[in-house]
Amino acid sequence: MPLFRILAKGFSLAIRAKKRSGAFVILFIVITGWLILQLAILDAYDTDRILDARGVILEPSHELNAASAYDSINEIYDAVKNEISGLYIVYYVEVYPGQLGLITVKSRGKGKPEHIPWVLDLVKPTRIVNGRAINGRGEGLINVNALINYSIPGGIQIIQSAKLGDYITLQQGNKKVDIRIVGMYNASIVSYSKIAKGTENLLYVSWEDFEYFVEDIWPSPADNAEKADYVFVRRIILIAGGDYFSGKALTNVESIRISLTQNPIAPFSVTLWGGVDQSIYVSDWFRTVVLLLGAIILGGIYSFLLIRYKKKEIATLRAIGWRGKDVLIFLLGELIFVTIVGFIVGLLGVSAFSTISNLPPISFNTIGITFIVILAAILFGYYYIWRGILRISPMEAFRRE
Amino acid sequence: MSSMSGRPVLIELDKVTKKYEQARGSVFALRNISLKILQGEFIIILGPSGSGKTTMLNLISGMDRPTEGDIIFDRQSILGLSEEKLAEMRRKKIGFVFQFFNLIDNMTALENVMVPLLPEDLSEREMIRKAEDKLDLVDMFDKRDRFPNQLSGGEQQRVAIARALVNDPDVIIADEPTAQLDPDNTRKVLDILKKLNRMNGVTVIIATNDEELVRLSRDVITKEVRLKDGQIQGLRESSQGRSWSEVELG
Repeated sequence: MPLFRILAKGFSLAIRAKKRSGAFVILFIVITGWLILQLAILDAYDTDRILDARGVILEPSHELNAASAYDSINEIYDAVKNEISGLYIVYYVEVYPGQLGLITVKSRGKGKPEHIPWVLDLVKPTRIVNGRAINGRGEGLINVNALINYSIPGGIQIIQSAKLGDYITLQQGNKKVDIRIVGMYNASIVSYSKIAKGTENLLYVSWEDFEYFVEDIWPSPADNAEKADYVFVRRIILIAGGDYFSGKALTNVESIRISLTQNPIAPFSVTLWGGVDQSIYVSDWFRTVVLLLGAIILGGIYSFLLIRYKKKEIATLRAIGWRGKDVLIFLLGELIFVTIVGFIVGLLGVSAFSTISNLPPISFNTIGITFIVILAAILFGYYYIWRGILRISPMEAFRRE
Repeated sequence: MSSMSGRPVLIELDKVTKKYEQARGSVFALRNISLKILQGEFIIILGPSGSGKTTMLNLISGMDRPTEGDIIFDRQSILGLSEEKLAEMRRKKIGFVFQFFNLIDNMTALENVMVPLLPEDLSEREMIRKAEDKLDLVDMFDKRDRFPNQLSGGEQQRVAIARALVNDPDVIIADEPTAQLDPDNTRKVLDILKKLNRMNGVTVIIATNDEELVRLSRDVITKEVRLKDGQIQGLRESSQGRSWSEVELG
């Protein structure tokens, strides 16, 4: 209770010390607002556009089944294996003509599970407009407003909608797979139509469920889903290896692109989405990192000034019997007030601005990351203030000015 | 342990030496000081700048530790106390009055007086009651909502005295408490300290180089300690201004 009272006293002093705290509140509003905006810009990068910077997308020139593509994919892998950290194949199988298809992502050779959620725009978590990404077997994603239209003998049509929490069961005899819809994505984006190729509804599932459907449920099951002639390869994604910020990844992207453009492995060709300019993407990242560090350093600067300007006050408080932790909480009260007010006003400002102008929407991830940065600034300030308090002796209270 | 007058010893400095190591060698701030301070005494520590007055106050209040010797505060050696215990001792048993008042700028007079109570487990109402009582005692109740920059130097020092008193301490330690004040305010502040000593039995220790302050306090002073170069040059005792006697230094 006393510590809360001391914290509250710190808050009230921050409000009264308008000149000092006011300037820093404004700085925190600017830096958090800008950081939120910058994170929203990064979040809004279309995955394909990011892939243009992080890797290379290959698409077949015509409809190509997995059986025919198998050797070509191995050939591609061999050609670029030294420059990539992952090769991913987007597979498609039609479940009901024109109405429902299954898609999945599978790596070959190199591959990292953490790449998979964002190699497809459709399954990028922040692109999911409702629900969440899948966590494994038995879960799926479907397009918003999914309507599956079945025609059965006698000219009867059954129109079935699929919503969050619904199950879609794919069954043949006693073999079946139940997929629960856990997330929904926007079907109006370019990637969707590129992969769907006219199919109205796409159900994204884990590779394991996809494989089970193809190898066990399909009427004439294949031994290997990756070589099945009724499974289609819609896209190959190559993720460049190397550190992104040192420029190694960009060099590798360029090298892969040149290699596969000059010596194409038919029927795949490099698809340039013409989206993101690599230098803009890097500078967006750079700006974000600078702002992120800037917010933390600003917390440190404010703490430095608090210690500098309140040296006599700190010494007096210690002289009259406040413990180190009492003084710490007192000063932290000021720092927390300044940073949190800056964060809230910055967030509200950018939110209001983004609704009236053409700015990217602000996701919960963006808000969460910014809040963590603010906490890091407070933590940095906490460390600095504590060091300062320990250095100031209560004897300073007697010192002549 | 008690003195000849029957009052218990509150603070005892036993052969206290304080030296600081500097690049040019050791500098003695205090040398072999022994002094007993009884409960309810009014003590003036007199000496020019650099004589060791402030070092003595630092040591008595547990803000610093002696290089040699011991300091007993209320029958307990401060040498063995942790920083936390020393802070608690200062908060509960000592009230401080500083030359430059050391009030917190953005707090009102009432809030400044409440500062020593904030770490205590008291209700807000109880804290306000205690602080207002002390402000009343120093005749500053009517100005309790003013900020330090809205008060004169004398008024600020009276608020500082109220702050020093708010925890009902055994002793008030004042470092040049009137150095920044005009003669009128000097008298007012001194009258408050005398009243506290006489009426409430609070021990008062004042460090100063102002002979006028000694003259004005003559009627209450029980000990007059003259320091020079870190050593006691003279010690006079009296029974509250009567029958002064020089104490022979050992």
